[in-house]
Amino acid sequence: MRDNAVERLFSLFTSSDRAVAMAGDLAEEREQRGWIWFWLHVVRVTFALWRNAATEAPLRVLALTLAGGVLLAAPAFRGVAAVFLVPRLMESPVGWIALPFLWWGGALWTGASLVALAPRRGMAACAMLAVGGEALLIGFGGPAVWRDPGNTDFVLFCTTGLIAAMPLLTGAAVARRRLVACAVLPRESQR
Amino acid sequence: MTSPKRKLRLAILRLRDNAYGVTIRAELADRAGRTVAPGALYTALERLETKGLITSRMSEPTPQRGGRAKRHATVTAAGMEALTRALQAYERLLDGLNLVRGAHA
Repeated sequence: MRDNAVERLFSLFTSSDRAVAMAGDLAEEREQRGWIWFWLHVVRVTFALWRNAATEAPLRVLALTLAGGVLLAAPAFRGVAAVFLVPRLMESPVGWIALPFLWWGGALWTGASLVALAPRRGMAACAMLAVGGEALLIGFGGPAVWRDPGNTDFVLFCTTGLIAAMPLLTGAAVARRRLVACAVLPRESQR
Repeated sequence: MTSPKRKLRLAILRLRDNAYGVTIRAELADRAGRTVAPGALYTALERLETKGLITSRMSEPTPQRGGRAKRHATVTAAGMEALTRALQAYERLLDGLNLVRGAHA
């Protein structure tokens, strides 16, 4: 049976027919070179496609990434407010349920919005936002957690933030696949 | 030396109707001694196509590729013209030099 996962992954950053051809080339060489080579090059091709999408129009991708940061700020502040600014919710499970709900929901919506805003570059901007956000959280939150591992509130904040990259990318991927499936994107715009 | 993108177009020309990802990589490795990663090849092909120097078409799906089609590349007239110009300039620079035998005449 044909495994479509690889071409679906490639089609997030390039047109669907190019993605099919690339996945086919790797599948053809897999017979000689093995599975490790295949999956290593699936990752490398995905990275190359992302870099190509980002470097073709760097200012546009940067602007989209910044717009994504702004879109994410509103649910991020609402999540913080839900935990710390409402006295009744403080230290109650409701606050800690509200935080991931608002952050992850916001991330999902941001991903979908960026792709709707710019079908060609939105996915690359989302990936950049996810990588940048993870790097910031690990860079600033990691040492703080290391110094004070007993601070469960902060650990929970950081963990919720780190996981937010997944709904961000999922929202973008689902929006892009919907646009491609509904043929809203002409072939050239899919790239 | 010719640039990597010129080598890529020369490999496509050599392969005629059978120029797609796998064969182009093999041709570059055999003839130019250059191993190109698939990711680098696809981005280079996409850029050449954006510039109008090559064009591509999808073929019929084949079973050994898991039922996936190949994307065949062809050098366009503009690509040929640019390639010929670059190679003529290269030949002019080489003219009078005998680098293969080690003598700089």
